[in-house]
Amino acid sequence: MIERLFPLIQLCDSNFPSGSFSHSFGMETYIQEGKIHDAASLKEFLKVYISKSLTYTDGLGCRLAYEFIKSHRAESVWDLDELLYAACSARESREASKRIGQQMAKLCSNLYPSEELSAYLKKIHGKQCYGHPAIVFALVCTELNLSVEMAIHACLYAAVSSLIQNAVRGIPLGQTAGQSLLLWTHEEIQTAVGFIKGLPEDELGRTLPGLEIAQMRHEQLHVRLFMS
Amino acid sequence: MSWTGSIRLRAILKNERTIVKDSYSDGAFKLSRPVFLDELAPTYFLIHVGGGYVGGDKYHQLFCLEEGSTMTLTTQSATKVYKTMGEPARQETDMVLKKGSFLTYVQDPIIAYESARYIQDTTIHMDSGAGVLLTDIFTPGWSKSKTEFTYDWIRSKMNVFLDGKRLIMDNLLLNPSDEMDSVLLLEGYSHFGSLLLIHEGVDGEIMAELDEMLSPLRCNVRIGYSRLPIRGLMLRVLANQTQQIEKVFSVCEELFRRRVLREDAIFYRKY
Repeated sequence: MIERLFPLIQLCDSNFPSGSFSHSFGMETYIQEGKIHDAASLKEFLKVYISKSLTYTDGLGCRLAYEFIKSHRAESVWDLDELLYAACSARESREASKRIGQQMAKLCSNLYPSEELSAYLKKIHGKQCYGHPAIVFALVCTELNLSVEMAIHACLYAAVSSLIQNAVRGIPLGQTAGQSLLLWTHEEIQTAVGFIKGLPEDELGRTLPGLEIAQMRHEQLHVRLFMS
Repeated sequence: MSWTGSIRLRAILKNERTIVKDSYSDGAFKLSRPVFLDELAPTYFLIHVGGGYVGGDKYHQLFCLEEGSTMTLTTQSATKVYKTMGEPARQETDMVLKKGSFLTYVQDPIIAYESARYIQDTTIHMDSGAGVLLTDIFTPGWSKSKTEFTYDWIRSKMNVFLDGKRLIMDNLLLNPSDEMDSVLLLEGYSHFGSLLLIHEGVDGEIMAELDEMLSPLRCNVRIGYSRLPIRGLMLRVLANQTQQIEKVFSVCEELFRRRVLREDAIFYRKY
């Protein structure tokens, strides 16, 4: 069992060069405005971010991609890539997911090559697809015969752990506080995955007014640690 | 399918003027006579002859702008959605915008009253070189109990396709029983407005000017805007009053008309 987990541990490692260490997806706006200033306010942000944002984008996106790949519906995967890109109206965050997705697709096609992943990368190079981390997670997990639950868990964990690492640098917070929060998110992520399994397809890409405005306002921040 | 109200409009360009070639309205929807607030392009008011939307109502709108035509559509007043038993009230809007056409579609606020359930589904199919300016405002209606939000939920979907490729997807759900007040969602505000502008003339300079013009308005409202993957922008506003959102929108619309279309601002003279 453990040998099947290693690839996921590697993918979710904060040292995995996906580029997510450069992106806060709007969190930095809240930090600069003083709305996120300590572990408690970060926790409140993460709770909503996981259950209302990630659940409907990366989470549901990963589940759908996994199901499409398993049922050999490649066209649906490419449509999903387009949907995830179109669902984000804040330019920096839209570009962030695209860059991370592209970077992961490139790396993973070396590490865990598969026909589907090569096809995705080819579409990205041909500018027919944008790239999204949720789709790469699904492609890798189907290739490694890992369950859909594992895929969604890993996908959400990677997003949350890099965000917490970035918050530790951005607020700043102590490493222990960061790790305690990460431990707390385990249960939040498990709850989210249970919920995602029952979500209808048309719930994909929920628009969160406050978060999107924060992501948009990030473009105008004067001093920035992060690109989004 | 039988609609509570439906409306269809097809505009064409003839001798440099936009005229409506086909129009049809049925049920609770009526179309005003054209008003020429702007010399070459007509403005039509979309009229709802009932008092508002109730449960089970189904409305459909189809607007087609042929090559090069320009038209403005606006509601006559706010759309009120009342207590909804069973099926939600639903409004579907399809827009087909051919090359070089430009549609301005300014909707007055949707006011959702106690126990209202409302679905709005808007689909835009545009050719490259077409443009659109579209606004939406969602607000809670007054209620006897005077608590802030008493509607059940509002769902608004919008999909924009450019030459058949999906460009923008909004999937908004306002559900007061689901932490709607919290950070990332409405953040303590009650009103949400959204303005979509797609036009080849929306460039970096316009964005910089917009930033300057909006900065004095940032008191008591939260404004965000960003460029789309093509020439255009999405503007989002959280506020506690409709007028605050309308002010932000009018600044954006005026700037666009003056700088890009080289026209004066339009005052819709509704009230």
